[in-house]
Amino acid sequence: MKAWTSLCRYIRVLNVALIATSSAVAFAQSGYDISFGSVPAFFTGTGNTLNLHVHTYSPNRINRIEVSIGGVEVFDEQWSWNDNKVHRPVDVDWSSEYFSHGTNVAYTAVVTLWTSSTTTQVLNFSTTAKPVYNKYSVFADSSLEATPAEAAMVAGFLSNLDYAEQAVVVSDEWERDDFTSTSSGIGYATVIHATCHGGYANGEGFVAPPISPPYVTVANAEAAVLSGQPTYRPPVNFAFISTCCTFQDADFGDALLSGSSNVQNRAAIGFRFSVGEVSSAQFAEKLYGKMKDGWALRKAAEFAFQQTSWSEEHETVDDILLIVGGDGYKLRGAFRGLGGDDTFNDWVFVYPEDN
Amino acid sequence: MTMNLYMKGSLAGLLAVATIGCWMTPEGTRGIAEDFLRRIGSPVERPEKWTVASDAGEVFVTTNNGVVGINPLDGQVFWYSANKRSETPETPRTSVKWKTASESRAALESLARTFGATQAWVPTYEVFRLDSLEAGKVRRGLAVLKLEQKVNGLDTVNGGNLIRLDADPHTGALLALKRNYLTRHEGTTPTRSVAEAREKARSTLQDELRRAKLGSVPSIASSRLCYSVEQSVLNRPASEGTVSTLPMTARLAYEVVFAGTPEPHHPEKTRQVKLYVDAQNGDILFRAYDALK
Repeated sequence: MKAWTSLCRYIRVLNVALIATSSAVAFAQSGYDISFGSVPAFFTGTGNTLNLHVHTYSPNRINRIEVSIGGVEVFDEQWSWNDNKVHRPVDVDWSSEYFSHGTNVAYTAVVTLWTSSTTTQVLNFSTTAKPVYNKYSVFADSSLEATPAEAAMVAGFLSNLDYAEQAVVVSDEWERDDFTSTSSGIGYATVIHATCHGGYANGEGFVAPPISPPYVTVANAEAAVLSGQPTYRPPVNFAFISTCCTFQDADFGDALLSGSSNVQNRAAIGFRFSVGEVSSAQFAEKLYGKMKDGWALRKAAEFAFQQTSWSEEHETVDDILLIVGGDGYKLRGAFRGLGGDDTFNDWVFVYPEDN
Repeated sequence: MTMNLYMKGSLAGLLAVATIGCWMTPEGTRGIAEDFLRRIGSPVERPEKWTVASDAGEVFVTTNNGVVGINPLDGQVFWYSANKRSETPETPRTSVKWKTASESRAALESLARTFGATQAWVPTYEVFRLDSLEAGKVRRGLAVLKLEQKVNGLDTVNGGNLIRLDADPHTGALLALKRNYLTRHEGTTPTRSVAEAREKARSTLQDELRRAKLGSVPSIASSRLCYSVEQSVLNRPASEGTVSTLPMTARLAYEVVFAGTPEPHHPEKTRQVKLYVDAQNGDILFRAYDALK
């Protein structure tokens, strides 16, 4: 599901006077209409498509159309238009490779029309493309038998929800700096899943990588997720730290959600005390299974809790799982930048159906 | 007489069944959900607006008071979660529907019986507390009753039939329901001896020490007869349905419990590995090797 919406801009050209090298040909009123349809106002990844609709009226004809975006020609086609009022959708594939992903937010499309071999009309269409930032990191300590399958399940869910993979690390050799990395770890991701050992000591929770110490402390986590905010990345969207005891209190969750006081559409979850590797993997599968269906976090957690043996030992899901942030968080959303320049200030969390 | 298939309420569900032959039409599922809400005394508002979602062998109806999970194979409600509770009161509530644990149990047990829990289903988990002040904050009261089916006097250690009901003891409102009701049980008399089962468990664990995260095989602490579902059935991916919506078979088994050993990563805690041996063919049905993270 592409995390971009279509922005339809319709420009009607009236009384256009062509600049021609030979005879000037004036278009009559309503000579032609050109509009952008399905312009991706939000782009992520590659393969975004720009639909250009061209509609001409008698007696004017358009023989050739060239489209350039960001100074790069992306489309050039010639044909004969036989009849009046020809409405021809022109699909132009353009790749976000034309832009430095995550930096440029505005682009200009230039449409050049030829009504004869020498008569041209150049039209400029400008719009703002708002980048989507959805990257996930999944870390699993493979010395725990159930975690590789858990990691594969989580990564599968997230990739199907159009999250861009940042890192999936399933190994018994990663360390703290791998986990906090700004290029592949929680220092770059907006969705984080960690399934490994953890604990609570000296008044705070910690994550224990396969090779540890050093452990990932609250301070480590906060520093990592703040890296690049708000200029180059938004706050963490969702984090599930599937470890023992790390979420005995809210400090580790608060650290992961650092950078913005708005937690309505963000959440970090973890376990208040020790959990089994198999049962926690089962819980994760049931949880993500419902979250990918659009369930809000709390409802999904209640469902997952009831499907595990934990419901035989605990009153409610809150006895074992601590939710920091928004109960109503939904996994399918994404952060979009609203900055009109090259920065990502004013990140806004939007659900696909809000497009 | 013209039947209007689009009437609200249980009649819509029945008409859908009769006319279409499948209760899993949106109208039918809304009808089932509406019946359920009325049955538990919940207000019903504008069922025609309720949304129906189907995925992985489960159907969920989002109603005005929570989500109702329906098994599309038989139209049974297998899960329910009421809408988020109202804000925690500033002081403990004084009005009470069920004053004691006995009253709570009686009410919930009565409701459970209407969902097919017979006298053979015994209480295995209960909670009863009224609103209270703890560290200056109100802790909401809660009433929970879980009934699990005993077969031939034996427990089913995993995937057995059960019902768990969560309710508010101050109002009697049902907060949550979960049912497993599709497990059938096989075997009444073991054909393998307990000694054979213990030896099978011991030798299996010997071969799987690494997987069980043990250095050596502990002594056997105890064994007993029970019923167990086969492990691969319980490990089905979430996309293939849940234990509440797909039939399962629990077989007569010996539970073999090994003496406690320190948790590999939490040595201050003790862990007991268990294996479940089929009491009739000697197969290993289930391994409880779960180590703490």
